[in-house]
Formats: sequence, structure tokens, C-alpha cells
Amino acid sequence: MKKQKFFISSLMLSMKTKHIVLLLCFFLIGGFTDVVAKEEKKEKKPVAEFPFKRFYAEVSLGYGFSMASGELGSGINYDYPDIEGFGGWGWLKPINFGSYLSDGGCSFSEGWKIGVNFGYRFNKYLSIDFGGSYMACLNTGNWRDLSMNRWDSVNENLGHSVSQEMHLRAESGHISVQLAASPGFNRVDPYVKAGMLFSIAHIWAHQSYAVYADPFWGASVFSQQAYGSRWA
Amino acid sequence: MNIHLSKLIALSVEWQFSVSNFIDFDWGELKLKSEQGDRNAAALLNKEHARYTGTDHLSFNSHGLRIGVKFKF
Repeated sequence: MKKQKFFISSLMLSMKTKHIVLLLCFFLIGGFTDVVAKEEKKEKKPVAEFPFKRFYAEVSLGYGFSMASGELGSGINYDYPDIEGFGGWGWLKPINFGSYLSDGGCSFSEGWKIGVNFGYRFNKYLSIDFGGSYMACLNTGNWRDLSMNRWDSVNENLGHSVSQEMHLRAESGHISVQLAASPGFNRVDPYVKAGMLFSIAHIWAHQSYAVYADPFWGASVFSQQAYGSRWA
Repeated sequence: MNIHLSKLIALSVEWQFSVSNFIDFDWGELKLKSEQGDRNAAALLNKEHARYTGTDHLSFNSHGLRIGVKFKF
């Protein structure tokens, strides 16, 4: 009888343990399949930008505007004698003053710019950029017209005028080394860049000078044309 | 800023500033190519008969927009 009882209780125990084992197996398998499913989900996510392509090549086009332009003919002396203190042979009076003379100045940095850059990204935030660019300042708007009439001491026009014009244009090449820092955003990534720029420019100049017998120009009595170019 | 269009291509938009030293341009270095008319008559009319041969200080300073296409590899 005792044996029978023992047999029955051991059978019940073994059944219990069997259930526990089965339950454990179920949870383990469930957990495992859950992990596998999660991993699959992870794999399906879009690949982030980083780790990323470290190198890049860039072609660019831009337009530059001048800063701190200089005036042409800045060394021309406008020290005209005052009419009261100057008699006899007359004095020079600039006309069109304030219109032609203030033509906005001259700068070699207004124009189209094309460039090629090569870069390397050290990490998500920092990169180095090597660039080469060409800029053409082809507009010939850089000029100055000094038109002057000679007047006598009683403010009568003595009947001649002078004009002087200066035209410049330039082409320049630039090589740059810059460091760029960015927050490393995946889609729209703002950055700041700073570095050194090495430039070489070729400047062409044309100057014309004329003296007219007429107070308001007309046919010139004498004229000169001068040209030149230089590297800078 | 960079706008990453794909894993291989990005669009870049920059506003650049560059500051350089001024250069001196000497108008006296220009070569006289042509001269017409009566120099003496002009000299009589205009005592300061001469073209400008002074020096101007010229700038390469610039700022402007630049748009580029980046190819990543």
C-alpha cells in the first residue's frame, strides 16, 4: 500500500515537473522567437547615414558680391583753386560730380564662381575640405569718368573739357583648405567652415584720356589709350 | 548646409565670406597703345595735361552664395 502511494505521489510529481519543464520550454521558445522578431525588425529599419561614406567630391557654382570696394583714381588731386583766390588763367571745375565719380567703386570679387572640392570626414562632426575655384570678374562696370570744364575767374566757360576713363576686369583662381564642423544630422545637416584661401589673379586694365575743345566734349583735340595687365 | 538626398549624393548650400589683402594697382605701369591729336594744343587747353598714373588699392574681398552637388564615396 505504501509502495502504491509512493508510486502515485512520484507519478504526480513527475507530471508536475513535466508540466513545469514544458512551460519553461514554451517561455524560452516564445522569448527566443521574440528576440528573433525584434532582430528582424531592427534589420528592416533604414540604414542610418552614419557610419557613412568618408570621402566626397563636389562641384559647385556660385555668385559673389563685392565687399570693401576701392575707388579708382583715388590719387587724383581735386584741389581746385577757389574762384575768389584764383584769377588770371582760370580753374578746373568738375562736372557730373556725384554721379559718374561715385560709381560704386571697384572690386574684383563680383562675378560667377565655379569650383571643385574634395573632402574627408573624420567623424560625424568634423571634416576637412580641399577646394579649387575659378572666379571671373568680367563686368567692365569698374570705371570712372572725370569730366571737367575749365572756367575762368568770372565763371565764364573757357571752352574745353577733359575726360578720363578707367576699366578693369580680372580672373582669379583660388585654392582653399578648410575645416568644417556640423552637428551630424542625417538629412539636413548645417555646418560652419573656416580656413585659408590662396589666390592668384590676372588683371586687365584699359585707360583712356581725352581733351576736348568743346566745353561739352564733342570732337577730341587729343586722346590717349593705354592698356596693361598684371598678376596679383 | 548639406542636404543628404541619398547615401551617395548630397546637395550643399553655402554663404561664403572671404577676406583678402588689398592689392596696389599702378596705372602708370600701363603701356601707351595709341595717341591721336595735337599734344601741344591739348597742353595749351589743359595745363594738367596727363592721364592718371597714380595707384589704386583694390579689393578681392567677397561674399556670396554657392550651391554644390556632393558625390559621396
